[in-house]
Amino acid sequence: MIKKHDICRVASLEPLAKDTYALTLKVNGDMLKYFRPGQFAHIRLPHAGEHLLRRPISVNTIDREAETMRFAFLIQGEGTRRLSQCRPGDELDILAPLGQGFRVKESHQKIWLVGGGIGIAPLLSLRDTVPGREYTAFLGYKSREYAYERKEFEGFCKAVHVTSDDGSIGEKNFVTEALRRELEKEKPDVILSCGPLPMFRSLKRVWEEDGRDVETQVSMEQHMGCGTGGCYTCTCMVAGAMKRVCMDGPVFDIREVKL
Amino acid sequence: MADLRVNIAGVNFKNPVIAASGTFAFGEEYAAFLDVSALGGIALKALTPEIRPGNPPIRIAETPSGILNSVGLQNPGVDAFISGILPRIRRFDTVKIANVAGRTEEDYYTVIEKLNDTEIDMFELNVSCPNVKQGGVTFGTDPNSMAAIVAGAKARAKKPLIVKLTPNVTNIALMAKTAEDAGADAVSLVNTFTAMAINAKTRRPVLANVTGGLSGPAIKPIALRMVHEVYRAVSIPIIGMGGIMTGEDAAEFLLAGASALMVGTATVAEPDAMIRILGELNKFLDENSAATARELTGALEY
Repeated sequence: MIKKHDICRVASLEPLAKDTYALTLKVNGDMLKYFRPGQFAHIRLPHAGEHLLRRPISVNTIDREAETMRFAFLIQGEGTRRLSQCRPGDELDILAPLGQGFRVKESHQKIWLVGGGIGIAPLLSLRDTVPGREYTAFLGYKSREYAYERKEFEGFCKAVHVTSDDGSIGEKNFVTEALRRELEKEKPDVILSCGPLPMFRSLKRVWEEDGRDVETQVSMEQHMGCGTGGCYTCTCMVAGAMKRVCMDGPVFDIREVKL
Repeated sequence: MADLRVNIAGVNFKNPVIAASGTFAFGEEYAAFLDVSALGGIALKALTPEIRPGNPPIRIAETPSGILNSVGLQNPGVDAFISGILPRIRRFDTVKIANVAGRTEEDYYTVIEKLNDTEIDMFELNVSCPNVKQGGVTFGTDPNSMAAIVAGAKARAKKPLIVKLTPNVTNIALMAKTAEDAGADAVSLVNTFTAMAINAKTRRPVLANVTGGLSGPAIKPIALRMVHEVYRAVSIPIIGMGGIMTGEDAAEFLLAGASALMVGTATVAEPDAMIRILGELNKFLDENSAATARELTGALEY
């Protein structure tokens, strides 16, 4: 039995940007061995008490040598607020790696990453798990104070296009419009994306108008129960059927998922 | 090491801990986290005659010490279950209980008749789902409807029939007695409480279905009271549930009158919770000089 359920020690917790933190956990060998980019962990809150549900958080990076897994998250409620108060040495109850992740094929040599807000975080996992491809990143931030990991993307991408809602970092534009401009010039082999639903809706319009032939995978977010496929609460409509984000996703083809 | 074996309506269980329907899918997903054959039984996800997509998302919300869900009986339909899923879960050496649902009485009977000649061990008649517009809880809240559907199901079922009761009634003992008189071999209780969560900032309900079913430790004291009331009203075995998170919770339900237990919300929080609960129950029995789980049933002193 692969050890997907374990108690993991917090190695570090550091602020990345406003309300944004990086949590690094010391994890077991199975969690690293079987990890694929775009997969997530389901984290039980410390001293969970009245909070029964775990919080699903995508893996940001892994480090096989240090045997760590890093998660970037934005404080959005009580659960993430508590996670932001973890200290090195604390123990967290983790299920990982969960979900199907991005499906990167050998033919995907030129890969474009499109991330919005906290959805940028899981795209960084491609750097460590699928090296040797030609990457271009499109990073959309709310504003400069929420911007994080831009330098990490610059470290492995051929080009990084940064946008923000207010123009305080990069160009003032929607990240999907920056994508449109580049799609008009050339096409990648695949687009991998993670971000909020409104961004995916814009992405779908851009894809329909300028990128129909480009395989595009989106990583969906949904209110989640067990994370292990048992409760059928985290569903979304995919090709006319209700699919589980936790087990069948979180990554789906933009042609099939209802946004 | 206490003797954990129990017998419900002639079916032998190796222990009293059963996965509650709707929280364990059809069991397969959990083989990655626990030895499914170590469980007393598994109540499978509700089955209807046809495939059902269920309710739109958002389907789940966290509330204090509880979970609110409105899945709406999403399932592949009984035929797809028999041909595709049942052959794969045969390997689990545990009592398999089919949870039977539908919109009409005929729907329930169709599912039962299709499963009669399979290796399913028992039926659990779901007359208590709060999240579907037709069927479900409507059969479980009116005594006349309850009597009719239980009698109809019993006449067709070739396997023992459990009736799963809703707590959303004024007098659950009356509903249990009605089920017993109509031929039920056992009752399981409680299903979830109809409830809601509101996001005050957006002025919207959290769940797309507006209301959902509340489960978890938040409902445990009410569930215990209801098991106690039903135990005094019927002589058929009771399967108790409602917020069981620990072995001691399990013991409390046995004392209130349950012969076996179902665990749901704990599994949502912790995939192998049932194994932990089993271990804790065993330890509790040893430490409290009980040689069997059976002797706790209804042993409440008051």
